[in-house]
Amino acid sequence: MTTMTTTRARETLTREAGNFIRAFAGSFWRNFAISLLVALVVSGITAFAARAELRIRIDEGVMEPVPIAIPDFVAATGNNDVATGLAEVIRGNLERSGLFRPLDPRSFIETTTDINSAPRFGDWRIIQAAALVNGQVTMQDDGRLRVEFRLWDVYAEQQMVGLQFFTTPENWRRVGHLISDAIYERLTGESGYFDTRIVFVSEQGPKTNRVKRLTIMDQDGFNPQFLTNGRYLVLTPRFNPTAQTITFMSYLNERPRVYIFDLETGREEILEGFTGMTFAPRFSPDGNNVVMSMARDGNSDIYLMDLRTRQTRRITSDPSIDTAPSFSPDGTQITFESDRGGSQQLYVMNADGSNPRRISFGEGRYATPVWSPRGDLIAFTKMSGGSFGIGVMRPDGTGERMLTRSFLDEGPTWSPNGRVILFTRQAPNGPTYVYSIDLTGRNERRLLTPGEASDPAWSPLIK
Amino acid sequence: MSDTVGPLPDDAPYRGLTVSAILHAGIIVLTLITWPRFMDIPEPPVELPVELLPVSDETNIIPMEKLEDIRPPEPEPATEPEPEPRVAVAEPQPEPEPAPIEEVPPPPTPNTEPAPEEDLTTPTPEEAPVEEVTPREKPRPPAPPAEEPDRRSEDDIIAGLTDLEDEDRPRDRAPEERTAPADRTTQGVGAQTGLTVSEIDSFKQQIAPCWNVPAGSRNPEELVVTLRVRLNRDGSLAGMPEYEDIGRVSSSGPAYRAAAESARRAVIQCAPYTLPADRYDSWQEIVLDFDPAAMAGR
Repeated sequence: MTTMTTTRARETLTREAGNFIRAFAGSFWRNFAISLLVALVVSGITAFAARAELRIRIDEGVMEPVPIAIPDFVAATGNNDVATGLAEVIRGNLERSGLFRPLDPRSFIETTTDINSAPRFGDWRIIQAAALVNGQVTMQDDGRLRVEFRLWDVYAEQQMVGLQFFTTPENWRRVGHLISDAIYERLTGESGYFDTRIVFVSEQGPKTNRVKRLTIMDQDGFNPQFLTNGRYLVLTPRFNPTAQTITFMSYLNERPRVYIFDLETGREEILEGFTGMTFAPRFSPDGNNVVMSMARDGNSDIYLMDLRTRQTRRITSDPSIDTAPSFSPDGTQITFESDRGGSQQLYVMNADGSNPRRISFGEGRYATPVWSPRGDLIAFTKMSGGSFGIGVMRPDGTGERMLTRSFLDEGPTWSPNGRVILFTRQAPNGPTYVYSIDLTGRNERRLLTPGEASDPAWSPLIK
Repeated sequence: MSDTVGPLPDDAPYRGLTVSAILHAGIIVLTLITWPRFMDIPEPPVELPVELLPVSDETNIIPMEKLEDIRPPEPEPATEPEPEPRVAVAEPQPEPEPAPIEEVPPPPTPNTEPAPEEDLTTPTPEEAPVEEVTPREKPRPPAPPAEEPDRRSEDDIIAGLTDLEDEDRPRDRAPEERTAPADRTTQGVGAQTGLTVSEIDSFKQQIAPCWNVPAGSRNPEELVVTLRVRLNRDGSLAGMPEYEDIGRVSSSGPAYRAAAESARRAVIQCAPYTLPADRYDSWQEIVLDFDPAAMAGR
């Protein structure tokens, strides 16, 4: 029995041991295989990681004007005035933008004599020019002026853009603006705004007897022309999308009404069909409609007039003051100011008047909202704490940011690229001028106007 | 014997069971033990970066001056428009009739389309001299061993330039001081970059003054530009920085291209760079992500 037991036990033991060894062996090999695999993967990852490239995130830089060298253009046929003038126009434009720092020509080492050969880049790097503009003016046999230029990346030693223009000689300033736009666009990636005009109300004479005339000029202050004779008051001029027509409000014949003015023909026309006083007009993005306010019996509402059919349509019908309408660039929405909530605030509604919603919620009152041409922001005037400022916010009301503040800043208008804002600034008991401010809140400057000025409107890019 | 033949003692089966249980438990235990052991073998010597950071390194870098995002309080300064001459300019225009637009035959005639850089090397049939030139070849002397002399001359120029730079750039103040603290750190550690956080910070500070951030763009978060930069041992560029995604640069529109070129200019302009010489292997090639989003809101 003992033997049996022992034998059985031994058998059992042997079987179990075999199982164990088999199991162990199985588990060993399985483990070994898995471990080998793991080892390979891990060592592979390690090796990869060890050789992983050094990757660095650069999230800090400067916001400084780009140093750019713009030598006088080469006068191939002796048109020295134009050649010098073109470089001056371009330098002035780029400098005023605040994004460029044209370098003093006296610091230039290389004298450009032939724009069709590559510059000596080293000479320009020494004076720290990041970009170089070489240009040439040639009077052609057909009496036209040929202006060509090249923009060079001094550090990469590459041409960034090269263009030529043909024009009548007296039109050379405009070519300067077009070249400025090309340079601006290439270096900033945004469209330029130099080949544009600004319409505004120029103010002359003593405060008691002000002569206010509608005036138009190039964006850099040149070629100012009076559009009205100053015998009646004009306010809030606005361009249509082709910069050919202006709509404004005037007190002609003591009737405050909205007019349109054709720049080409000089023809002025009242937008009839309203029973009350009309004001605060603005074109729709397609140029076919004018949206404006009409006041009657102490109530102001927003109306739309189709310029082709002269049909009018009422957009708002709230018993409060709704005014200062401005279309979104896609034409689907309108921002406006209203006191329907008890105080003067900004609203956005669909272009047909549906779904109005308040977007301004800060302290103070808000007025004159203007939708940016690039659609991302709405500029406005804000009154709070006894002073006025120009600010921007997103169309949903978020991201409010004040750009200026003073005794009286009001009436913003956008540059066609949505980058710069013009506004009227009046000093206490002082003069009234138009100022510009960059969207970043930098580069505040006074616009070059002949005398005092207010109510600016920036034209779209002239096509 | 007959009496021995009979049912096994009650405990017999249990003995077997016990042995079996013990052995099975042993196997399980062994398996549990061997598993982690095997797993252990290839464990790489990962070290926590935290242990490797000398505290002093974090703070000895002169920070870039943060730009105040508000313009000078006084609005007046830069604007002294002389109204007088302007009016004078206005007067010569006799009639206020707004005919100017008529008179303006759009000057941008024939080929006003922005000529891409490539066009320059291939003269186009059009009468545009602008396009005929092949200027890009010219600056490069046709040196036989192509790369070397060319690169060196460029480096010399760039190196000479940086010497002339104004002193207010942080890296020009005390190069030794900036690298010194980093030298006591260990090699090949941290995130396997081979550079400590402070060294990376130092490098960032060297580039920052040259990088003009595309400000005020609509979508700065879409303007991240990645450049691959190869460096020589002396910290100078070993060639033109390359875009990681050249296709994106050429096809993403003017804003991205402007951002990309501005980043590339920064890398070229601020070379040569001061980096720990003993770890050249780890930084001879660097990938840089230029991210304007953090600056854009300012």
